[in-house]
Amino acid sequence: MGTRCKILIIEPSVIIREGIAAILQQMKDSVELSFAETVEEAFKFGQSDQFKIVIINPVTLNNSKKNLNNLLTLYNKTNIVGLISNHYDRTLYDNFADNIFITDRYETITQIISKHFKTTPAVNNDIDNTLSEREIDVLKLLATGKSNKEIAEQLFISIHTVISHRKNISNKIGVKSTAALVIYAVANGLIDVDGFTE
Amino acid sequence: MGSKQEQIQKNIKMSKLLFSHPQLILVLERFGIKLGVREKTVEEICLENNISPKVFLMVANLNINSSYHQDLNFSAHEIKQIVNYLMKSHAYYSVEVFPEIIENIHLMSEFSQKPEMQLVERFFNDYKHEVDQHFDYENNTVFPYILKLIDTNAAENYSVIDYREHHDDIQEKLDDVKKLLIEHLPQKADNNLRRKILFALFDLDADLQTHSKIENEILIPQVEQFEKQGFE
Repeated sequence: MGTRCKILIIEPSVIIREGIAAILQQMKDSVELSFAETVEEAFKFGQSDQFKIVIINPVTLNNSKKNLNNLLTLYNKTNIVGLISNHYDRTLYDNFADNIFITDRYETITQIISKHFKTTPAVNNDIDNTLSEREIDVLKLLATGKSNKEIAEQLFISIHTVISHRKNISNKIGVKSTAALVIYAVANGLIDVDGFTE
Repeated sequence: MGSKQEQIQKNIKMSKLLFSHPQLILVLERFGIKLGVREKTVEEICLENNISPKVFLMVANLNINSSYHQDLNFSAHEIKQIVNYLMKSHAYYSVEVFPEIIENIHLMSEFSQKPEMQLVERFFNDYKHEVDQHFDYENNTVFPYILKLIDTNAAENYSVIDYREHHDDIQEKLDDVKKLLIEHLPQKADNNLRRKILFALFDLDADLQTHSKIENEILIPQVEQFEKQGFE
């Protein structure tokens, strides 16, 4: 899902829930929000890795270390951001990747969330989405049907580097499938139509 | 959208609901409910058509509100209605939506004479083939299994857990096509064709999202529960 960032919000107060949702939806990055009022309800979503970010009010942990540990284990691949609306025991939220306080300004909140998006946050237009020369080399070879290994050999770089270039190319262009990358390459004159194999 | 909306209740007038959320006309059609709903409520209309109001409300709420989630337990009879709904949706995609998009992409490709447009056409045809395979698998393997499970009340070697593993994300490539058409492929004079294609793709995307939510968040967990515990 190229640009959609899935976020789960665990917050019992409807006012705060709707508030944070409104802020997130005004951000440039396209977000897909899910909501839960309690941790139990949140766990029903299962698949801990489906969310990029989990925003949780520690009040839902009922002051329980055990609940906290369960949460940290379940979402170990996810950025957990605390949503602090009251005075809680710091140990309940010190382990989170970040915390948003209810008194935070709009910019602060969006900055914190952007930081935790997978791709470099598209918060400003200064980010250069043009491909580097090396990336263009990789894309050209990729578009002619070469495997990662073949590209690595031809450019004298490691497979690991090829994969990393490929990831950056996908992020910059915003498409994931090889076929779509080929179309991009053809449309931009990077390869000849005859250059790619039928 | 995506923010939590007011949930639809069973006692509101069906006509009022359709005026505020016209995309639900499609939902009615899939449940076999005919228009001309007069002054009747959602519940009355459902009961008249032998559709469980609970099933209808679940689907309708998921349709208007992507974050709708609630602990719901459905009876075997209701699960059948859900399966039937999903099969009707598959038919709608395969018979109506995809052929229309493919036709328009073909026209756009012919019109532009650009190699990249021919590639887009091929890309989308491949994509459709992939989606068809996925639907076939559900229509011929998963759904019959669920219906049989309900009728015989006995689990087999197969389990919906296998289905979950088989459940690819078919939306990624849809996103790629949209991105290409909006951002990367310069438009010549194909305005109305490209607009039609994009509108259709966005509609399809939204509908598919609800579709997979029904499968992943409602159908699979429910059937898993049945596999373990059997029916009442």
